[in-house]
Amino acid sequence: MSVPHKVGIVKSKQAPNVNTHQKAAVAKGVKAIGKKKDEEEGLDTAEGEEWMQGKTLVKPPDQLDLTEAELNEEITRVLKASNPNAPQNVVRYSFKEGCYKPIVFVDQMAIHFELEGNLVHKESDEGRRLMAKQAEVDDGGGDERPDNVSIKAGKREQKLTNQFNFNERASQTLNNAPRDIICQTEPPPRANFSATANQWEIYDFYVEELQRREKSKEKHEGQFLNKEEDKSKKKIIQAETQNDDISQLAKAVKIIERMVNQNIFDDVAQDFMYFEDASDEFRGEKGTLLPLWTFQYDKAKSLSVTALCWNHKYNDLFAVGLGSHEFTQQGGGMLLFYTLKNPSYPEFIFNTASGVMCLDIHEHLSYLVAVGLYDGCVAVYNLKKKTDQPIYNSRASSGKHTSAVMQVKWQKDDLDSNHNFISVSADGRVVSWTLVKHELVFTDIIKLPVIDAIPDDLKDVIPTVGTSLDFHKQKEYSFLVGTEHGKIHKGSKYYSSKFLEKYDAHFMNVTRVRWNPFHPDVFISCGWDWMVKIWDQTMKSPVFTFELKTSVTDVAWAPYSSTVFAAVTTDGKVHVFDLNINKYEALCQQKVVSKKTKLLHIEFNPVHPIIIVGDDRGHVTSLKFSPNLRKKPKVTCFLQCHCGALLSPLVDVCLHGIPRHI
Amino acid sequence: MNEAEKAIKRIQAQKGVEGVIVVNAEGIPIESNLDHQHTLHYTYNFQQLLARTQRMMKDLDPQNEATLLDVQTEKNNILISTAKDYFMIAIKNSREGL
Repeated sequence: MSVPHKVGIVKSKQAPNVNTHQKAAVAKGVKAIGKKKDEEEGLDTAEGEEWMQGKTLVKPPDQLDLTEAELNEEITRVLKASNPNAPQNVVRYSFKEGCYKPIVFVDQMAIHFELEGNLVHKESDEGRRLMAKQAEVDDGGGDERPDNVSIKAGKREQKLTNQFNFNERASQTLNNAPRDIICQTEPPPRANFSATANQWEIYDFYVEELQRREKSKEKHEGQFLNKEEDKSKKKIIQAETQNDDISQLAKAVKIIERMVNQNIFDDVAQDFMYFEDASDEFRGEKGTLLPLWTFQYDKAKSLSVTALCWNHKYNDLFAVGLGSHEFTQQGGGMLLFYTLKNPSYPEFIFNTASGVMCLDIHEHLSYLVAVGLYDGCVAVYNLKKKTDQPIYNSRASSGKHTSAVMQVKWQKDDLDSNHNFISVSADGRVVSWTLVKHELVFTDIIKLPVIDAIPDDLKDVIPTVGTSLDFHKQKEYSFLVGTEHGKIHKGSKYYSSKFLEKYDAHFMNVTRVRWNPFHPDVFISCGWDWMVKIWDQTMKSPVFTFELKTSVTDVAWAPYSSTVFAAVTTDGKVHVFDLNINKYEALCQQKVVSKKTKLLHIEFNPVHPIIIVGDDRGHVTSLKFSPNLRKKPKVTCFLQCHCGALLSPLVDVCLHGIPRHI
Repeated sequence: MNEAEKAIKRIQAQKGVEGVIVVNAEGIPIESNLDHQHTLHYTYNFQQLLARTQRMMKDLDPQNEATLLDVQTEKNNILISTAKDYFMIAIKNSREGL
């Protein structure tokens, strides 16, 4: 389109689409024409016209026709320094504000023409370099300037070689054959480790850590005291760590052993707990004894049971003393402890130098066991200690018995709270032994009176053998001693010169004398003369007499009833009596061991309705009472004391005064 | 021989007991009177059972832990008893009849 241009000074930065020569041609006072097409046309006509006529004004055909007024109109044009082609509304995204923001300052420079020159400033690095090079070339050669500092750059010149006489020679050193040496270390041993971390593991660990620290503290403190002790401790510690493997298991093994035994003897255990013989209802008064476990120990085969004692604290633990009654068959002896939980093997085994004749377990401190031996020694064992040896032994004591010790009994602690026990022996002395620090101190209580049959001059030589001893439950000072001659003496600890009372009990050896646990005046005795006699201490003759067909070796009161007692005889039978039910004959007479085995001892368990009997083969048999034998008397309203209910039937029986029954 | 070893021998000699296995802390049987293959078999299986039982007991009561397992089966009766890290397996024949 043709744009009318008025005559005016027009400057534009834009590169016009006009050829310079055309402009020049047109600028001769002729109207400036914008487009090329027009100009060409115009040019043809303009040049044609000009050639023909000179200054004739030619109007292109498509030029706007404007009026004079319009032509004279002044149009102002403003020159701006801004680039019309520069964008005016550039918007950029601003990450800071998260939105599009217009950019205010836009580059307004428009480059019309660019030409890179090859002029370098004199002072710049490159300029200096070039100048130096120039100088070198100008000077020619440059051999005389090796040490000129400024000319460093131009040293790498090609070597000038003599082209006639030049040999280039090269040599190469021997290249050693390359070798690969690889080294690999042995990989560290690996092990897979996995564990769980729970609260309880953490807790256990902390507890152990605490214990370890305490131990090390103790060791640390102990080290300052005694170096010798240290060495022994170290040995012990070493031994401990070596044995830790299996001995850690000791507890587990024990449990397993007991469990295995329980499972094997399961029926026995069930019977022990639950079996009640139903046929007792049909038997009237009679009862039976149910055999439970048998306890035997291989090494005790040749020995006979000489003493039995239940432990008061642990009702399933009992002690068996093994030795021999025969004078000619004296060997070693043993002290065994069995528990009902493990009938196949004893819990504790102690070997003694001579046969054990009697034993007693302390009532309160059930780890103290007093033992009387055939050679006259008394010894005290401590079950808590792991040693095989007794903690006290009267072997070295001057007051030891010269003959077999027949019975030992613990007493209450004396005024200095030392433990003490009393023993009676075949040398006729009743001696009290006190455990003072590390030794046994003896005190003679009384000497058994010699019978009249012995002539006076031999009275000191031939003693009266005391065979049995028992202390009253309530009156601690009062005791009974049975002798070999069949007499029973009642004495008191406070009178050391003579006995209070003498009972002509039996014709032969009194094997056992025992106070009734409930009635304060009643005691029972048995002997080799086939008799079992019940006495009231106030009366010279027995209240009851029972004849069993053979020598009676032991008799015991039941702990739950004042009228029940049991006796064992040499024909292997156990006789159980209940005076409340039948005053004349036994409720049960049962053979419990095989023939030719003599029963020697009997003991009632303090809690359970079982008894243990020891025989001369070294076996101990446990038996359970059937219900008929276990009858407890009914509680009456008067006699309010705690054992009143148990006393009353016996009181009745005694008061009625049944005459002696033969 | 110390007490524990003697007791183990006694249990092994007890009539009715088929086998006794003692396993140490790493799960390796250190004593056994069964043949090797059976020993390993029993050990492996009972170790797992024991671990499981222990976890279970601790889960129920963190201060409690199982000390003895008694497994009664048709043919026999297996007792597993644990100490600190060790455990012990005793295999016993079931009694005939009851």
